[in-house]
Amino acid sequence: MKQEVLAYFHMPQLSLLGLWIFVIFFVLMLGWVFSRLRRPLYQHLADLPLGEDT
Amino acid sequence: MIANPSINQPLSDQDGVMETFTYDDRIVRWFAYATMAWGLIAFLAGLIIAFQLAFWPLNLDMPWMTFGRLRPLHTNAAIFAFACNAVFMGIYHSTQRLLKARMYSDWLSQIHFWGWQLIIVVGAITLLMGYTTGKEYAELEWPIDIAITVVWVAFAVNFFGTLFKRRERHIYVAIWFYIATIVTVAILHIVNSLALPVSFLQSYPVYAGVQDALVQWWYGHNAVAFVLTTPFLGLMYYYVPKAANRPVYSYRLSIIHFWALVFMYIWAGPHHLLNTALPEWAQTVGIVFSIMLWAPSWGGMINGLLTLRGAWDRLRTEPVLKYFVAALTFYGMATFEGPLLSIRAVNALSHYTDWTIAHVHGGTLGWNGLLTFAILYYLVPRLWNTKLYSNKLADAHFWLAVSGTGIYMLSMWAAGITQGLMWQALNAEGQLTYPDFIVTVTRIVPLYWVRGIGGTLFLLGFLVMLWNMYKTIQSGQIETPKVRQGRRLVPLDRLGADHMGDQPHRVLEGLPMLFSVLTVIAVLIGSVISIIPALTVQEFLPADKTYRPYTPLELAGRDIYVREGCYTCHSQMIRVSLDETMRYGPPSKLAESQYDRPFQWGSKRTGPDLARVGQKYPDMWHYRHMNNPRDIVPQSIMPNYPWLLSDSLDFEALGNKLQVMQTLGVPYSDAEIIGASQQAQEQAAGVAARLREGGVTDPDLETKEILALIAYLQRMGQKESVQP
Repeated sequence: MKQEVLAYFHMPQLSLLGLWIFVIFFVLMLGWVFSRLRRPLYQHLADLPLGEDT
Repeated sequence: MIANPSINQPLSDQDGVMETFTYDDRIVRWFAYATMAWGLIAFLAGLIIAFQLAFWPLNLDMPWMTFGRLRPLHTNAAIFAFACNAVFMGIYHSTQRLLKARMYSDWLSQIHFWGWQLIIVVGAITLLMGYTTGKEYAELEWPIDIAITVVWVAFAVNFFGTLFKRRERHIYVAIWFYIATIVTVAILHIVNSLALPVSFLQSYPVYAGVQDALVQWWYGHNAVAFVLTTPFLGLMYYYVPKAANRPVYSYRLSIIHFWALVFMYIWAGPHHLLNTALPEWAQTVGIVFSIMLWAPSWGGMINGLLTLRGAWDRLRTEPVLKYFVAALTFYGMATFEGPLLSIRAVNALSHYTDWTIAHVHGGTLGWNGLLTFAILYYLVPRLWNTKLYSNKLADAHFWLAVSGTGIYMLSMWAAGITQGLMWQALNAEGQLTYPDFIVTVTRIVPLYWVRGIGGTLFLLGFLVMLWNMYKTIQSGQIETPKVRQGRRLVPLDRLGADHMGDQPHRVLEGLPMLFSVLTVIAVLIGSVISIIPALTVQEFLPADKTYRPYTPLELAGRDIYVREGCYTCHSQMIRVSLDETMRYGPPSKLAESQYDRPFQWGSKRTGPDLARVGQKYPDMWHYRHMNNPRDIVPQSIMPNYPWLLSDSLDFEALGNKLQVMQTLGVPYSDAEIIGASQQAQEQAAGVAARLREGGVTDPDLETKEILALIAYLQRMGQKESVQP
């Protein structure tokens, strides 16, 4: 049954494309997140919830 | 007004005008009340259906008390009433504080609150009355779906309006999770709910068969992701640091957690359809992304737990922290188990069994429940300006909830693995060791009782919390909202580069609309790649013309099948495995459900698969079985359906149903539509004649609903009607 469907289906490259989009996106995100220049901003952001009295 | 009006001179946010404002905590209190009230309903409904499986007479022979109708009520109440109200409570409270701004519109807040409660009430009533789409976690019919969309838009406008008038330049990660929730739930709900109305409270989905299955589980899986996970993670990132009074362990990790989760979660829906007729490549994509989800999920859990570093000693004295730790631990367990269950071989054993139920409740009771309780214990004393009435009662609740959840999960793990192994067991001759399905049911009924005990403990704990909250609120008072001060933000185009920083990410985090668009893109990439191929599969696999659409009477029977929630206990999907083939027949084909709107593949087998039940038993067998299953199978735990034997079928409505189906692409001719009522009555007369031969004496038998259901059941697995 599955082979029957696969035989008719000609778009498997879509999932490969999706995987590549994800990998590229993830690597770029890691570089962005671990940029040293962002450290002071992270400190500010992490303290945001602590600033209010409730 | 800007302090320095010169457009050429760089400004900083410190140059913004100082403003005074208050927070709208009244709406937070309302959502807190709603969370507690609906929690009671959801848990009580869950407990009733748990005991119904252990003791079938609890179905009471009444339509609205049967498992098939109460189970959707339980799941919808747990997800959309209890969990959603908890989410709204936390979002309305934390968003105002993180953005240093009152909600955009008090009026929209009230529309949101009252609209949502009205939807819940109407949804509960209609589900009990049998008005359902038959699609799990999306059972509410089209008018309610429209109302959900309207109220959700009101919520979104209110939320994004608050973002735009905020007084904090940067957007904390919790807000990111809220944004992802709001935009993704809107997409999921609208796409999955597309349907054509048949009447005021009935509709047929625009998708059929495998397409409906894939869209539904894309929705169903991501309802878990974006209703029960992302908003609760946002709440966790706000309230755990708040309760521990220390910043989140790693803000970097929280960003990775967010993007990885948002990007990956949306792909994993097909793991609900492993080993089915779903194309193999789609299943593999679902498996791969499910396993990849391990990493961000555990990253988030570790981030939450390590936020408590240096504060562990406070767990002895502060119940709130204890709840957070337990909730995060259950989150870790559930997100470990989810990918495990997505492995094809494990899924072959676990799927359709109570193992899935154990997994789901580890997440909902352990993660969503305990996190909600933690937030309530944190918020209620503060919202009513008092102290918690009793820490001891909070401790008692904690242990009742944790032990109840533990007992629930252990019993359902045991039940699921036991039943899965029994289904697969072959003897020395290569035959099924347990060919009678009922044997695999009676074996696990004792575990249903144990599950009921676990659920009782959980509910008892919840009642203890309600008493604690009542006494806390009684001792508190609502004070005049505190007036706060904050500077209005200077528009981005007027800020100097030195203040903004020279990194583009600051711009990104300062632009919620751009951020939201990126989130939508991340969600859509996975959605499009998961769904588009399935929506186009008909181009590659033309409809099998040898299969005939349902006759009008069979269609009416199918609607009854959906109305009574048969899909909550029976599947219609024979998987590709030796034992299933031996037990039920050849694996299901896509063509067999090409006219199924909605698809009814199911997700649980409390009873056997029905995909090929057609012509397996005589009509009289079904008649007696629906009236009292124990007439046929003495140990059966299925409810009685006596009203099907007494209620009359609306033959005149069938033409309209066929008309809608024709509009959706089902090949009914105009003549068939015009003659639908007549054709159905002729087929019903045939079924009735066979039943009379079996001894049925009802003088009005030819008009009864049972005939339609029998006609449908006899059609299952057949290319066309065998005995018209």
